Amino acid sequence: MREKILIVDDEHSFRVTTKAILEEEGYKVTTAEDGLAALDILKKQIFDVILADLKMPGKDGIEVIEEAKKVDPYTIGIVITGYPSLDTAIEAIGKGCYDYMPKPYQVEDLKRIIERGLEKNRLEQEVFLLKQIAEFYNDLMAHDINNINQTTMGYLNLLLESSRSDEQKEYIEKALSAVKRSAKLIEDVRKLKQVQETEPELKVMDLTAILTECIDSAKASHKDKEVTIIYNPSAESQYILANSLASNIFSNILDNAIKFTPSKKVAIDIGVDDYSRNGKEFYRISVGDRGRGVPDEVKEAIFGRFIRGQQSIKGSGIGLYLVKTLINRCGGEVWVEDLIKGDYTQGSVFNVIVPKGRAEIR
Amino acid sequence: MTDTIFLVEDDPNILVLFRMMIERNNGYRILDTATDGQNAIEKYKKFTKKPDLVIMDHRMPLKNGIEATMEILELDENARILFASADVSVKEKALEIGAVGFLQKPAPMDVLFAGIEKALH
Repeated sequence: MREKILIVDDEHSFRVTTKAILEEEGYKVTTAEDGLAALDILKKQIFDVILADLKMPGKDGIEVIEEAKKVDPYTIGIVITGYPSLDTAIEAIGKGCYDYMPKPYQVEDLKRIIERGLEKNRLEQEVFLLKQIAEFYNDLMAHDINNINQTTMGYLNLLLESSRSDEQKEYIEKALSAVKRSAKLIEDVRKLKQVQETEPELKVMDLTAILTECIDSAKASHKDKEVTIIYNPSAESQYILANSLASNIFSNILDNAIKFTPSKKVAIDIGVDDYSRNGKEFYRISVGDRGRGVPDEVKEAIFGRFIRGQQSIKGSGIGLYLVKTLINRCGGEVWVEDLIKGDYTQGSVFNVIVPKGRAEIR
Repeated sequence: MTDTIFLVEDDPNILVLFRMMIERNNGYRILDTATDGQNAIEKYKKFTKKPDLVIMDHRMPLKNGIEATMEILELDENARILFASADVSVKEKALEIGAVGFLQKPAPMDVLFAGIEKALH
């Protein structure tokens, strides 16, 4: 593709030489003898690059570039002037011009600036396109696939109601839990996007209330198992400094603990104690399970779904990656240890440290 | 007495499913359905007897659930609207403009009925 360049200058010799140089480079070049003539041309076509003299009768170069960018924001505007000054350079850049160059110029400088501008342009357009594609997939999952999940879930509910045989019921329950996992995965992606795109505000929150709520909902969503969660809340209030999505940290850990305990009976212990590191005060929340455990080689990798070169455990979704992202945003940390040191197969302890919040500023 | 429900949902599969689920429950009757926000407002205007509950989807053609909820509440400040969407990020907005409840989709049947009961009373 031949990129189109518009040269706007009231000096005839400048237009002719610059046009010749740029045509030699393969660009398609148009010239205008002043700002008003340039605006006329801009009504009919758009250009990849506009090279405009700063001082011209009628409309100056910055005004021409501003007008062109209203039509096509990707236009690269370069101001040229025989009287370079810091003030006009600042004005030009402030008004959206890409670069500013003195006249007379070095041919190599001109070529380089144009090439660099076009490259920046290409990258910006590519980023824009990729963002649109990402947005499209996200939307597709959040809306369309969730609608399908709703329909599937609903009919399975109806089928379960009318089913007589235990075997059938068991299969339907399994299908239902698969649909719920699909919905949860979509929900986790949405939350991850939310934390990655915005910096959620940190506020003082009641740790006991968060843990109690997470325990209740974890039990409610795993009615197929006998879940016992031992948690003795401290008599005094415990406040943490975290963002509004913090409950997802614990709900994901609990959810995994239940999911990865092979037996129908699930026993989980939750402990909270004081923890300090580098003079900072934290609460440490330890969630101990008797699940299938996490081998040493993947103790770090399970939190890093998207980190290149790291493997993740199949079927773990993005829950733990979300946990890590959330906890990092709160200034805390998460790691996993063996319940019985040295024998991972006995189960795991997920440790989360979260900065303490001061109740009085709540 | 049987409570009447006005169901607003653009996905035909969900519309059929919700209707079937709701009608299986003896306590409720579907008064009418609409498949976009604009149509929902127009139908609501014409009801001689208003429904006891409106179940409102969010992402719909012409007008979305938030817009339709606002207009319906303007027509009838006593309208009870249960917002139902997969997009939790609109929950706050929906409750702020006057929806009586929010149902996150996909919702299993028991959650749907619990949501309807809570929104009705």
